[in-house]
Amino acid sequence: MAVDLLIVVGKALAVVVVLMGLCAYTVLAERKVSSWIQNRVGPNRTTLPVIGAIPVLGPMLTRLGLFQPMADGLKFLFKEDILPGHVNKVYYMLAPVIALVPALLTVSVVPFGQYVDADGVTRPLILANLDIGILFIFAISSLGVYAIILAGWAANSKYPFLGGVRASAQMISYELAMGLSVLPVFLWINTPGAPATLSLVAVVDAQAGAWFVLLMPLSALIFLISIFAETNRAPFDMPESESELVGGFHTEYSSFKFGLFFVAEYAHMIVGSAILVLLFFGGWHPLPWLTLADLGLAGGVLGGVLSTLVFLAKTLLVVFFFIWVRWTVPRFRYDQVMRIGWRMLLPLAIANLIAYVLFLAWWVTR
Amino acid sequence: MITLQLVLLVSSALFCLGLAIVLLRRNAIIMLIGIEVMLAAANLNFIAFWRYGAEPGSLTGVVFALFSIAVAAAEAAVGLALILLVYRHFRTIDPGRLPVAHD
Amino acid sequence: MNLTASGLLFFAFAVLTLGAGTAVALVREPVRAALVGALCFVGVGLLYLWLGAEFLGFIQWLVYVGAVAVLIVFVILLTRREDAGGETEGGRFAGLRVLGGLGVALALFGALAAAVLGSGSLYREVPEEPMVLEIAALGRELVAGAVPPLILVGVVLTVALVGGVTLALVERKPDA
Repeated sequence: MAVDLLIVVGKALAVVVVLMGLCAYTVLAERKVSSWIQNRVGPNRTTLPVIGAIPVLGPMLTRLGLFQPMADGLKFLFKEDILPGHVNKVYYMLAPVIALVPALLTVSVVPFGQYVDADGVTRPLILANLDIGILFIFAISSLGVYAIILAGWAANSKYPFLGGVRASAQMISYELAMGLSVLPVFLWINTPGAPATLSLVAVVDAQAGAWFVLLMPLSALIFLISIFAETNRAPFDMPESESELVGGFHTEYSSFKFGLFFVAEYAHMIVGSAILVLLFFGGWHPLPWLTLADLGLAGGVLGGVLSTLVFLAKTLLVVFFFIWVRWTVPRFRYDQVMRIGWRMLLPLAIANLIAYVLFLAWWVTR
Repeated sequence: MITLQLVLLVSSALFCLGLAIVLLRRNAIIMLIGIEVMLAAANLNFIAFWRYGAEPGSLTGVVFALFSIAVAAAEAAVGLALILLVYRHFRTIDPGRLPVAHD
Repeated sequence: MNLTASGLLFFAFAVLTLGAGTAVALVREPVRAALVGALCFVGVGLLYLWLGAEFLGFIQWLVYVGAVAVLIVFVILLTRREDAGGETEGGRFAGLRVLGGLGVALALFGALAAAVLGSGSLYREVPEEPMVLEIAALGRELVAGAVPPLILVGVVLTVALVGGVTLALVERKPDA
């Protein structure tokens, strides 16, 4: 009993630590990629005493900026933590925590690989294999809005307030399109005869043939755009657009509390990318029409490691796409954001859903 | 242990809380929250009866709760749009302050 | 009556839900009231989860907490005015109104509690084995017995969506 509990806690901690590490290095990637896009060099000075002194390797790692995240993290911890006098203290302190918690909770139902054990049974690598995984993710991630509303309202000042209002409107608007764009996927894998499930593992299993991005490209596109809006990434970063709102909802935050918001944004982005990969880009299948099992590599530890690596590589590729878009596409105006959400994405998602319902009805009764 | 009675008592208390919110508050939006709380209390009853019911296989309670949640969402959307409209016209959301149409 | 961990959880969730609900009735500031309202809905979702209806619990969070309560907070923020910050307290019959409201609510609770406690057939314990709501069974139930209501709910939701948007639409003046 106690040992089992310890194992579960250990697994959860491992996943959280990996996610946090990914967040830190995604921040670095953002800085490096943006500097390449803008013809700069990016962070290339931070170094560590011993490792930096290794003849060839040390300077190379330093130039790549690999030690920068440590400096960034320490900076968040040690800068002065300002508590402005005009804020609603409890809610103000609560907001960054609420920002981070949903991001960490949703990871628990994200499968990141699978292996075939000694008995020939395929087991997914996942913290909690919920039968209703996708619903859990939607339910928990919809709580993330509260962080932004709370931060905007509790800061008791104008720019955060505007940022909070913008964020809540934007996130509610795009949640609709996002939910509707995912439905065709689950209709597809739940056609009569199939075991009815909303689990993400089943979605990946169903993509052993063609990836869903090939079968329903419009769904994938709508989902991708909605994640951009849900994670407040450019070109949808209205809630914190610095040229209009200083910093938006986190204007009044400093030091560690700002750091929590910052990490939460990247965690949301990584989890969003992971879900996009699971739903539409084949999860841990290396290529469409090609699975690890086809290659004979699905067994044991090797299978687990390989599938995790494939999945991570795809996720990071999507994260790179997020960063690429941020430094390439200019920010929308707020009315444009609303128009895209309500007049383009939502009708498109509904039409897409109806089309797939009709197609599947024809397919099943054929 | 927890009996059906206890769950029903909790849901009754929740329902009466919702009613109290509607009766005590003078803010149309908060009154809407009260209505939603009452609906949630009713749903709690349905699910409790599903859980403790004589026929464990029967899902009627859950189905009813599902429909009730859907209708509650629609009600909230329209209700809030109406409140916004009222606010634009009269600059207040206090039902007591709204001009009354005399005959 | 011996309490197990599961029983304690039930009491914790019930206290959270009822406490948050009481706070909605008492907290003056609308935004705070709406936020504790969201907490109350979270508690109701937890109670659903405790009863074994996972699907409904998460639906409850998705719809009530993630959408309805957010909309409520949003509308409160939109209708916030410096001069109309608080609620109109006074009025000639304020005290009478509060007393009456409380009286009605308490009387109703008394009646409901008496009815619940009075019927012995309700004294039923939780079935021992944990009960899990199977979504496959739920889906079959919906398709087998509830198709007309399902379609109706679809129509209601669509009408509500279109109606809500139409109502909230701001008529833009040409010069603005």
